[in-house]
Amino acid sequence: MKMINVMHNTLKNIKQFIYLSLAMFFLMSNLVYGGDELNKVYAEIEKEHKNFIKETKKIREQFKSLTGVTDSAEAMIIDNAIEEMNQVMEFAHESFKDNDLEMTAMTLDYIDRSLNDINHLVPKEFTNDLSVIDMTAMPEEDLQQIMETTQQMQVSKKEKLTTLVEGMTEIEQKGLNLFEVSKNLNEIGVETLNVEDIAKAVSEDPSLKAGVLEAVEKGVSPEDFAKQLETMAEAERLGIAESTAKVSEAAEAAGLMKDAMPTLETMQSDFFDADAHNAAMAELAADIASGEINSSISKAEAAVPNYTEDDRADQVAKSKRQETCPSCD
Amino acid sequence: MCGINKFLLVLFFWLMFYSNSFSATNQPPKVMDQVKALGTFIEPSSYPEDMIKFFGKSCKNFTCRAKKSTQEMVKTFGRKQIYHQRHPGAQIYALAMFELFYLQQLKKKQKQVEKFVAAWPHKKKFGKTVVSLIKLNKSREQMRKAMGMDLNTSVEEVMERYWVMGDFLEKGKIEKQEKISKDMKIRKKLLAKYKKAVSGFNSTLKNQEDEKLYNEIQKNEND
Repeated sequence: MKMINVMHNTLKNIKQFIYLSLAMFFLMSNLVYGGDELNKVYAEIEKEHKNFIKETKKIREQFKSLTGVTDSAEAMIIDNAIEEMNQVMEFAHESFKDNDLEMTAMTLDYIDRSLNDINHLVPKEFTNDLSVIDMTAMPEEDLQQIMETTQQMQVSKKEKLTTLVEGMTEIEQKGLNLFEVSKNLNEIGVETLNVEDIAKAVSEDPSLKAGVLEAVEKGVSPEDFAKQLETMAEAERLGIAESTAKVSEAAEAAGLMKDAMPTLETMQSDFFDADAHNAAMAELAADIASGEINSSISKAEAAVPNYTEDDRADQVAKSKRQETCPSCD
Repeated sequence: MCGINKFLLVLFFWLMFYSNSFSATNQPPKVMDQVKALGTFIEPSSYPEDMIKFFGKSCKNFTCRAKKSTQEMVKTFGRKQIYHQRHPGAQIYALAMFELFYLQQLKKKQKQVEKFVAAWPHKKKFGKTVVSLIKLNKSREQMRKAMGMDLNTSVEEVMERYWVMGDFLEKGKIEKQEKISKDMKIRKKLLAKYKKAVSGFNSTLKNQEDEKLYNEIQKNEND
């Protein structure tokens, strides 16, 4: 009887083991399947990163070879700014090596924005002066649409800026103070993120503001920090959350809206301030030239050739079919 | 009775993990959300006045208008930066034309999309077609977003807005500036390369979720 009990218990254990194994089998096959998908995507990213390192290293070396061989003040500013950005690029690579893809992307967002600002130092061969446009001659409906569009553009610009500043604060906690880098870039001569911009981004979010102030304080001298606090407070007091100080002052004087776009009535009035209008238009033109629209257009450009090639192939195939069998299609 | 309970327990585990293996890999709801976002083809009921002028008198049906728009759009996107500096509205007009290009693609591939939907997730038919449409739709969404619109905005309104903005930019006075020095030209080129590399890799990082989705749609395709 004792033997039977032992046998029974052993069989019971074996059964339990089988049930457990079966359950584990289904679980593991599931994990392996999902892991395979992930590995494929990460392998692709890894490959892209290698190319990215190779390409950016080459570009940075080319920049380095240019340093000190120019008389142009703007060219020298660009060279120095790129030199300043090198540490940020290194940080991005390090973050990638640590598998912190989110941090890498945030750092690249900052680099992207800074390169955009550095690029503004390159003079354009043609400029578009929008101040000459006679707003009174434009249909009211068109003006309304332009205003709505520009307002929306301002909103998305602000959202983007807030995200950038949030990212800069997180990056600071990981060891790189981008507020300091921005300050250095401004000192070099690049018009990039400054205290007013940061004030715009943080004014409506007290918790973000506290984090940003802490990060800024670490990156600048106590005197600079005091000055920056003053500027920030002044910026907030003046309510320039939607625009730069200069544009805002001009805008307010001319009865423009808070975001530096004229109201419909102001645009059509005889007292319309041309300077303020110019400033607002310049800002709009700069947004269009360097903002999201351009990058979206690039994406569309990238999408289109694939399609046109496909279309062309389809068209060729269809033509061939029609040659041999005109009534088939 | 005990045996039946254990059998049911194993069945429960099996069903749980089996269904999980579907949700972790195929994710039908997410794919279907993207497919739904593609919309369905409806011919635009109106076009901006100047766009109609651009089509010409003989080009009145949608196919002709979409074809003409696509040709013009490809030509515009292919132009050099200097052209866009001299014609600042051209790119914005091209965005309006992109809307017609997208609609034309949707019209052409509507049946394939329907077959994909009918077969999904058990069979994968026309996955490549669906992925290319999703990518195109994402570009369309981003372009609209940049101008403060979204996929819910009607095609007619979107085209009208693009056209008005394009007209507005074209009305400005184009002024030729001083010639760019050789030093600056070199740096301009390098900066453009640098920016392209950074934004390209950044997009790769940010689009990894999308890539997983595309892989899933196209994996072991049955077409």
